[in-house]
Amino acid sequence: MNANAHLNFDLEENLKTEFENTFRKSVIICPSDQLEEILKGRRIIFDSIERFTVPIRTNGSFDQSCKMTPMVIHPSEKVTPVSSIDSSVIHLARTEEGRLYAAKSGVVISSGRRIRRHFRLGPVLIYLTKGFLCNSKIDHILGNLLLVDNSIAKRLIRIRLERAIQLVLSSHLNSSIILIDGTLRPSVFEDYNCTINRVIEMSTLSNNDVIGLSKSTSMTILNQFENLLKALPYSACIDTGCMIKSLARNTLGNNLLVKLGKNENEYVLRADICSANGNDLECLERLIGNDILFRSYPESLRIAHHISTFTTTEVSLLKGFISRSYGAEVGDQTAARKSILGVSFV
Amino acid sequence: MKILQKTNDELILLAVKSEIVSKGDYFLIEDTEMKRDLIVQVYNEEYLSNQSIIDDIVKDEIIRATSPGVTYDPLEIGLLSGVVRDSRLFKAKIRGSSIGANNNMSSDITWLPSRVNSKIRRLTISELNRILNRGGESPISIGSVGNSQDPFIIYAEDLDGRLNIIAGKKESGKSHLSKLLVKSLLEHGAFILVFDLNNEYTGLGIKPNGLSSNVESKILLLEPGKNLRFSLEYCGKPSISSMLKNALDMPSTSLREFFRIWDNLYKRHALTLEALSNAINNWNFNDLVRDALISRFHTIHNSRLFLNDEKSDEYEGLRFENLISNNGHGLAMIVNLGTCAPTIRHMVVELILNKLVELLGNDVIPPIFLFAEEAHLYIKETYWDDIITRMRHFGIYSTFITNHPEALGEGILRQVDNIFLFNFVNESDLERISKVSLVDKDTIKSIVRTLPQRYSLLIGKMVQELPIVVKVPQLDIKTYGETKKFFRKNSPTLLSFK
Repeated sequence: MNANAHLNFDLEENLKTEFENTFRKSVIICPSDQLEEILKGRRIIFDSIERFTVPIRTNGSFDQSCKMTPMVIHPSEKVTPVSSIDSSVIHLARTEEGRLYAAKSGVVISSGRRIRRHFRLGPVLIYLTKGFLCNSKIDHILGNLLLVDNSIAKRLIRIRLERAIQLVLSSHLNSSIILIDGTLRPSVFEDYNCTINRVIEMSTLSNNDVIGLSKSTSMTILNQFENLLKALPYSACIDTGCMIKSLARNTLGNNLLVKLGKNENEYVLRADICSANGNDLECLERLIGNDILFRSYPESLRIAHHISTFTTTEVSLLKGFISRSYGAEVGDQTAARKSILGVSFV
Repeated sequence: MKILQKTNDELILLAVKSEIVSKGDYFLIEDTEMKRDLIVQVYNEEYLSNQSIIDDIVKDEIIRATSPGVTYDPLEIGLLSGVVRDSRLFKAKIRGSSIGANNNMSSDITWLPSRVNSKIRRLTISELNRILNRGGESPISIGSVGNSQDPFIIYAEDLDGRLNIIAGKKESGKSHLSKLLVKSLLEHGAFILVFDLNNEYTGLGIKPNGLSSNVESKILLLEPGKNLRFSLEYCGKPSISSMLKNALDMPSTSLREFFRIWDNLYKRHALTLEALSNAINNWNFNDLVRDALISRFHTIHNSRLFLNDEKSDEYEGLRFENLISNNGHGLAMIVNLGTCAPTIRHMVVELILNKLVELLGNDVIPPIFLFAEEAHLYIKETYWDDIITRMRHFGIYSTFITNHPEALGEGILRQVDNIFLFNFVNESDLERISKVSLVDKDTIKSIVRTLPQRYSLLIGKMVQELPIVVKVPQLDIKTYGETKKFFRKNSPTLLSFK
């Protein structure tokens, strides 16, 4: 089956419902049609403060025997669909029982250096309460953590949403590349039935390659190879597997540093590759032959990111939608400090 | 609709796309707590725009342009987002306030309605009329208000004793409105004089199907040199003097000699063209003066505006007082200037206006409405102020129809009582009109620039200084004066002419 036939066959509109169904199963989401009943009359407080967590950097040692020889990546003419997935989650509101999140995801398919199709999934609402978490298979310690820490909850939702989409894509596509934003690493937040291992397993069965691209890495030791790659006047990669594996135990596939472009100003990215036939270089060659690259970053992944991000208008609309459609009572959003000191309400 | 902001006498109203508002529409902002109402008029509309919305639109468009997409949006936030993106801001001028919709309007706009509790609703034209206390005995249905079907009526009394201007760019509907006004005034029994440059007002007497209209008997076409001819004696010295001075540029020395001849012939009861010619040739005066008089005499003679000898002719010449007394229920005298040379046009207009002033001054005829198309083509600019200031007091109420407001002197514009403004896009024309009208510049510039054909912005006393946009209706008369076109379906081609 050629790539275009793939697109026509596999990317029908009903795919989106399959994304949703898989996501429903993996995240204990409360369907929006039930939210009215659940939230009616509840006191709800919309939050505007987003908190971010900063990953801890680790300084590990690596095996000096690792050989770092750059390999040239030549663009492949073979037409291969490249599916990029990205998602984002925001914390919308809290109630006395739990927290309300919204998630959005974008899937973009490219091939032959053209963007062929995109999917916008969401926004969907996820209401995390103690009751829902008790009924789920989530560990109760993690469940308690989810209720108090927004960033962990958001990460859980994001990972589960992405895995659900990745699983659907890996089973529906053949001989394609699935591009994921971030490293290929199992997470404690994954659903038992929808893990990255399962995605890779399904991909391998369907002859799909999975690539995880990270824009930045906390492993500062890898920075020394950046200049080596940047100096090369062509797309190239270095196998840093032995180094990465010595620092992080649970990474999947082969770990490379890649520069996808000829110029000196291209960014060097970390790529975790699980290729179906074990040929990572050929996988990268097909990637750069089928996607448009900007500063070493695939355009499909960039568009997927833009599709998945929430805009200020969307957030306002979601808040308006919740308070209007679900009849929730909107609590005082003004922080006590601001209210007492009399500074700007906004 | 909600109030968003207020700056000086301007309110900004927020509305969604489904709320259809046209420029010129009036709204009543009812503050239920204060029990006071504010009357505002929308003069401009814009999209609700902030950086977030612009970012959304740009992002969406870029994504859409890259590839076809499928959307799964269970909450239909995308639809809501569309509503927000399509939201608009209406800029509205505060025109006045009232305490309760049934009370008269006051100019007290020193209070602010509540943004939260105020109700905003469209003001119907009947409510507006009630608030303005508009009324009269001789209604003129001038069309419908904006895009609604509410009929709008002005009163003939509003045009009586007033100076009016109908201005707009070419083919915007000026002459159409002018004909409507002439027809309506005729129906109310008025006496009207029309200076018709394109021979288009004769159609007032004929319906499109060729039958006679209800004012057919009140239309009189006057053609210079044919049925528009005067005796010298009837015209009198002041009219002839004015014609020689303003239309034929006769120097004062020559004019003095001419009057000596005139007085002499008048005393001898021999005021005929032939006697005048003999006198000019035989009178004892400077040769230069003689040459000047001879050249003017030839122009007068060739114009065929004057009878040679009314006593020997059967036709005694046109007498306005006779025309008016014979048509007591109203008369429109259409003076066809289209076929005249420019000098003859000037002479005709000078003679007629001066004669009318004389008759009005002696109370021989009732006040008369004057409709002048492109007046700058047959009246000298310096003379206009005189016409406006003098004739108004005698009883000639002018309506100027022009596509060139800059040609109307500022003296005229400053005295204007009513303006019917059609579409204008030229900045300098808009600037000139907005400078002299009683309405703010923003309203005029914004509304007039986007008026469709046959839509007019009414300003002045007829609408009690509240500008109103009306759609002038189709007239049930034969339309003459349309531009002849070569490349038109079913038009005679050059071949068929041959």
